Amino acid sequence: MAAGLLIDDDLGLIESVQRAAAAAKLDLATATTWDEGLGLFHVLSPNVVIADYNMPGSQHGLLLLARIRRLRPSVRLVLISGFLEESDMERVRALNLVDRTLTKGSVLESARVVVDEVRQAQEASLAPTDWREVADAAVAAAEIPEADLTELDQILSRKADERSRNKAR
Amino acid sequence: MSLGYFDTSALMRWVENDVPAPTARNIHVAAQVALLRADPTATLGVSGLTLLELRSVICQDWRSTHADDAAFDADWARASNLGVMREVSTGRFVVVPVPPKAPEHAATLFDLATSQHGIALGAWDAIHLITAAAWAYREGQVVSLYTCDDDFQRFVDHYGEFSRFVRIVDMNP
Amino acid sequence: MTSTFAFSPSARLQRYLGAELIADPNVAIIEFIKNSYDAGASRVLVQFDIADEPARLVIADDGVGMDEASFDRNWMHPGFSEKGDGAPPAPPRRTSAAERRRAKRQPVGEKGLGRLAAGRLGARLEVFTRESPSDRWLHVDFVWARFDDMTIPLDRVRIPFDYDTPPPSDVPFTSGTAVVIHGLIQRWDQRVRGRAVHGRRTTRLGRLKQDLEFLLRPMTPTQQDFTISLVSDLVLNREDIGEITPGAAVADAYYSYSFQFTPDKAGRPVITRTVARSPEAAQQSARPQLDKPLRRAVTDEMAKAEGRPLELLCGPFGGTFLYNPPQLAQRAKEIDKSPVGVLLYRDGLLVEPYGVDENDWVGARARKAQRHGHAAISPDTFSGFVLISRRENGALRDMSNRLGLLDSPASENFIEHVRAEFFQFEQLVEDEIVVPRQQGGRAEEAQGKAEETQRLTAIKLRSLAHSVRQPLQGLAWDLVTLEALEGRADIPADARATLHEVRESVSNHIGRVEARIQELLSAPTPAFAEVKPDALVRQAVAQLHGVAQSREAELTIIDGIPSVDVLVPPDIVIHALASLIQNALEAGRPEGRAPTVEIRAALQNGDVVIEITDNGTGVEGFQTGTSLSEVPSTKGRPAAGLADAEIALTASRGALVLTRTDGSGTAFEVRLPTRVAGVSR
Repeated sequence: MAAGLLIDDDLGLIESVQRAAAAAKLDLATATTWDEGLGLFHVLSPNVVIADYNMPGSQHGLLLLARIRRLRPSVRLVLISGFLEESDMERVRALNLVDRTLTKGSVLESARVVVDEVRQAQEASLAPTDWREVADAAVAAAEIPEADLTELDQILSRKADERSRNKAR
Repeated sequence: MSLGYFDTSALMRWVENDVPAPTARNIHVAAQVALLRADPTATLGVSGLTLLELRSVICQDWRSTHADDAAFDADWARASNLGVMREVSTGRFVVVPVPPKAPEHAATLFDLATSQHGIALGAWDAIHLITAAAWAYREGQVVSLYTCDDDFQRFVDHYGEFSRFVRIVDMNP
Repeated sequence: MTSTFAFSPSARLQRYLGAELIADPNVAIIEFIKNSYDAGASRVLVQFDIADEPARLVIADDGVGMDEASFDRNWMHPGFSEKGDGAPPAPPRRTSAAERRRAKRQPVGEKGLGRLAAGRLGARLEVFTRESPSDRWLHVDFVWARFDDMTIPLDRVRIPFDYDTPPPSDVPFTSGTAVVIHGLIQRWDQRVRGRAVHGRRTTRLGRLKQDLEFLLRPMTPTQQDFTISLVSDLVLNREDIGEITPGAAVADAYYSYSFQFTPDKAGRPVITRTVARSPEAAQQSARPQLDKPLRRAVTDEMAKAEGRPLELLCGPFGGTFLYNPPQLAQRAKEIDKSPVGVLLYRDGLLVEPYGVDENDWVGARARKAQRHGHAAISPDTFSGFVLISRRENGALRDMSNRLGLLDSPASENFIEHVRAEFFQFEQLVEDEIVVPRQQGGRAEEAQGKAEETQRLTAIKLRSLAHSVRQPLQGLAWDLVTLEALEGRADIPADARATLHEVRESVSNHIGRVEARIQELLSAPTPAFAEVKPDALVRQAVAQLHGVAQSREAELTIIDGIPSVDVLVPPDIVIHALASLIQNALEAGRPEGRAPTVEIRAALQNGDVVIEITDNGTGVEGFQTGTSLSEVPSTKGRPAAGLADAEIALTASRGALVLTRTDGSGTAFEVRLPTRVAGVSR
């Protein structure tokens, strides 16, 4: 199955990603909404999911990532946001929900990081399931504090909503 | 070129048909399998799991002391296994690889099916579905999954994303 | 045969009547003070002992006092009242000063429920009372918890009394009545919770003092001998306690306008006016608390301007008008149901119906109606008194049926003068309070909008930065594609080399854009600073010498930029000015017209207004005075920079207006504030 799954609502970006993935022989599937991304996750069970925080969908942000984490604890999750501040990302990391966050920094660097993640995921996908690793990840996922997750999601959602409103002004 | 994947239930009906007095169901399914085997535009696939399960069920029929199963004797078992091996040996059945992390993936699917919709999806059925979907993803085209088991369709009805990759074909009459 | 029922209320009725009927503890205290006034007191002590527990309140007066029978009559029959029923007061048994004062006073306490309200203040009430220093003190002890039993009738609750217990030693009077309330429920030393009410003091004690002033204010013209001493051993503000007299109560009014009419030798009125303002009013209007009296003889011109007669047929008279802001006026009405109009007193006696029961002889209500409800002084905010005498104003005669003054040229003259004086007062309040408040309100509103704009601008900048970043991210992925192609073995060497160059070039462009985005994202909240507008203009111009030269444009700063400081974030304003000047330099010109841009500035209404004028072709179809975000782009005149300049200047608490655009050129005005509310220098 696909080694990686990238979820981003920017269609122009997705086209560039698909073109780059084909050229660089990256086993990377793409989705433009959270709902589509979740559906593809069910089918393709990629080893790494790279998602932009602020996207439309029936449910967005941390709660959806938490859902993916619980479904398959050993998956690698990378959260991208050009909008959330570093202090927000620190709080996300403190939850032990995602494996990596990308905020500011060069877009070239971001692209390189994603390419590296997908290449690593490709290698990992050739190996059989390491059940010890899966078990460790399942225990860690169960320890993510639900209340903290919900609170942080609400705070970040409010910021995202305010940004969307002001984008339209 | 169409792609078709057999799960165990479809091929079992095919091998059980090779007895003096087959059941109407076996006759029906075996006829469809024969049509598919005769279609040069169809690439037919099985996985290692299909072959393993098939062998196990053939042995089960052979061991059976039920009066209806009297025809499933040693000769029949030998001929059935050899027939399947011939199909693989000639390349008429291609062996489709089961993805390395299929067991972990399968666990997520039957967790989902039970927790969200209270429907059954057996462990091996999940592996078949994952294998067919992976084959479809690699080839970039939809794979028809030939089966006599209605759990597949029930699952795909709830998780429509699978329909982008796999078409469930019920071979029962 | 007819039998009868009779009510037998439970003891708990005391709680309902006292605590719940009188919800405001200030009103509970005022009920006692009204009793003191009705008892002919000249002094009332209201003393809070709240530094230690249990807290205690003492209300003591030097009034008539009571013996056992009068106590029983006055206190133990709530709902019965000898006062306010039109019956004359009982003739004094003794001729003490308190008795004489009581005889002259119109009773003000009516309900007969005052003592039950003590339950609203504290858990226990002790009463000490005697009619003369030679009598023993009657001591009565009310413990309100005894009334909480719903199963016993009210009249079965025993209230002990004795003659053995003297009042506390700090009760200063040798006769009269003292009530001591123990276990106070309120924290009288604290601030009142909730939003501040304009004109209303912010502490509990301060508000009580204000309410006592409202109570005494109508007594001024009758020169009542009545003083309230409000003391406390714990206060937040020293102004919350002190002596309260009718005169002081008037003096503390928000606005007090006194006038005195005297005739000159020709019989024309000479008006002496004095305006006094409370400290808050003085601060709000930036005027002194007490103006020097202004004496003016009425001239033809003045009479015409003020709408008053030239003669003073009614004789000399004087008066005082008081103005309270609406919230205070409302409170005054709650404290004392006294008339809110202007009362007329002849020789210290009220002349009805002037100012009583909404009588509008001064014309405040009529004036409001005339101005379609927009009068500066709403009738409810206005009160006062006018004083006449038989000796000086003999021509003003009362009707015998208490329906006012007899119609005569003198009474008409009198009323016209009083009304004209009211109009003068109304104008004063309008000029000093109402108009500036409206402007201040607008300024506050504008400030609020500017703050919100500033916050939204910051969010918009971040949002802009993020939305630019997304297509850049796409470009980065395209570079990944190029890199992958570059690595393919089947690519010819020259193509590979070109791919490499393109990749490097795109990478550099991306880096430059990202650096600019980073600047936007890390831009701090602009800091305001005092700066000379001349410096701002010159720095903006300095950035554009190159552009001016390349276009062979004449860029001139006209002398006379005001030297007053403006309070703005300098970098943002310089950037905005530079955008506008660049826009002016780059505006299209018809063939043969040498480009010129002039910059001048002036001081207007407290703002520095910088005008940037060009001789370009103007912006077609644009209405001056509308938002710059609607300016359409014309060739050589991108509009985005103008809209950004407008945002920047609004965030700087200034403004940008397009004042003129036509074939001969365009003019922008940049307004910069010299003072910004809420921003300290």
